[in-house]
Amino acid sequence: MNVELHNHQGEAVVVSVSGRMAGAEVAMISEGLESGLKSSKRLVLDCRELEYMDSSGLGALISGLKSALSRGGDLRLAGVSPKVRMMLEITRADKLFSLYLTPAEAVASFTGNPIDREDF
Amino acid sequence: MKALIIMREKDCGWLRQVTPDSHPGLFPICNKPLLEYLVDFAILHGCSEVRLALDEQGNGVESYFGSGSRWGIDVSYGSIRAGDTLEQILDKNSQYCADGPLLIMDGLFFIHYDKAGSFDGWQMGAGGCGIINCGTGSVLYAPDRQSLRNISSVLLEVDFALSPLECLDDIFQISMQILSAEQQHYVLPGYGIEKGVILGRNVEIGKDVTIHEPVILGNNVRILGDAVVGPLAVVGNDVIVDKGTVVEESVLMDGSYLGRNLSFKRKMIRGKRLFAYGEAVDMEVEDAFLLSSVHQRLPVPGLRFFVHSLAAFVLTLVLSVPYFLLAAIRKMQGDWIREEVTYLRNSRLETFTVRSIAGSGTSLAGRMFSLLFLDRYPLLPLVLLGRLRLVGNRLLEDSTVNREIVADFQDYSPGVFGYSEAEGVAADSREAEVTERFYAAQNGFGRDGRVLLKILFSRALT
Repeated sequence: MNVELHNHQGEAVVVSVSGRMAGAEVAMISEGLESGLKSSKRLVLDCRELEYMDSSGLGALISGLKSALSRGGDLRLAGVSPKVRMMLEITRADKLFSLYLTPAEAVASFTGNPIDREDF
Repeated sequence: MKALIIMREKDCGWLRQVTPDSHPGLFPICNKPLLEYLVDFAILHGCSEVRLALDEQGNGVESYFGSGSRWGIDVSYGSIRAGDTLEQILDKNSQYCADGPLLIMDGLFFIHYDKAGSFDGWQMGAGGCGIINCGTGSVLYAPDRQSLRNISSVLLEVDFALSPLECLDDIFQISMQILSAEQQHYVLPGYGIEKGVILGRNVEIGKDVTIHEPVILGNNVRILGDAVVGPLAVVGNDVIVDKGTVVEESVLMDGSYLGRNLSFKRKMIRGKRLFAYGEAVDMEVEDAFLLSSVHQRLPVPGLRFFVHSLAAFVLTLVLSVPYFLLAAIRKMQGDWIREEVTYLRNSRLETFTVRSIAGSGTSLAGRMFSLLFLDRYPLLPLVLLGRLRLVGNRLLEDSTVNREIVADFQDYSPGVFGYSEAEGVAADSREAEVTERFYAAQNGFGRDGRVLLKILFSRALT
């Protein structure tokens, strides 16, 4: 699994994940979210390249969400694939997270600014 | 009258992705194999003989239908080639089809009929013949083989309809249709306890489970506390729905385990495979705590006790020498205290007491003692007495808190070696509780062995 962080002009930090969010690799996303929260309380998880997520991956997302909420921010998910969406659905986590089609829409949802897709 | 049921691989092969181990004709719709609906349909037409003509190996078809005595008819089997036309199939079965009226069901489809209906609409066709088509097959009737040559598709008033089966969505839709409106039309396995609820054998429904009709529950189904099943749920055989899980408008196929606190709506589940109706999503969930296959229980009662006892006896023999040797050393070092500990045995809150060993265990002998699992040595005789399993739930001492946990844990069955120990999760964590409940619900022969090996090897490696 790969985790990359992009700061979008201080509006939000987009954490891009690719591969599988499962097993031992989950620690990477926890670290990624934690370091993202150091820059901004508003996080967007770009899931467009995320292939699979298990319950430990979901656990990491929920603890990331809790951390963001405790700072007055949020963790929003973007570009979730149908399979990952199904995992969120069966674990009822779809009710915890706000889902957006693209990272641009998710960032814009924080600011209310028009979407500039060029940035993504 | 005779019936000829033809099922070609080219029509039904797509179902093998979900049922690789058995013939697609045995794929269950509301817990009844698809082929059996066709056989029932033939019987309702007055057929006393049914021939099943398949172009691929039956994979269980013959063992399921046997000679047909269960249905009071004669069932025979014929093999066909993939490219055979109907005419060629009739030639191959010329003796069977030689005389008398013939009912032919050719293709993969579902027949909607009502067992209380009348089945004489065929007489309205030209020459008493008739054919009803759908996209994936047809049903033909002819008073004799010769008349089949002149058969034509005319508008017939018949008391049944065909639904094509081209994808899992079709199967899902038909299952929901049967559940919601056609339950009384078919002979479905199980018995109806009230309108809209059909129960199989050996169904265990836990405390505070909610069942919303219409539902069909198969044999050996366990629905654990606070789960919600229905409305519109088909639960197959050997299925476990763990605590707090909601299953609505879904089909759970044979041998599926659904983990705790999950939610399934408009889904089809078989083992760890998950299909979403109308979304074309078909995925394998690798997380066994969410979805997994249920292995069939041991067929021989007491076999588990025998195997656990045998393994405990072997371990007792192997550990005796190091136990007494290291015990003597620890006693000499003053690192040896005997104490009595009372543990909970089951959800009825029965207890048992063991003389256990306490001590700092910091000396070399103490560390060796722990490394070789000798602290468990006094527990091994309890396995032979049937009070404990060798592999089971984590032992919980008799305390107010633990009593509350165990009273709410129907399957609690403690072992010398615990499930969460095998997974390496902290004893009092929420994860440990999930692990304990998962294994308790899922326990099986092979799994016990794997858990034991995992514990022994993980200790050896540390």
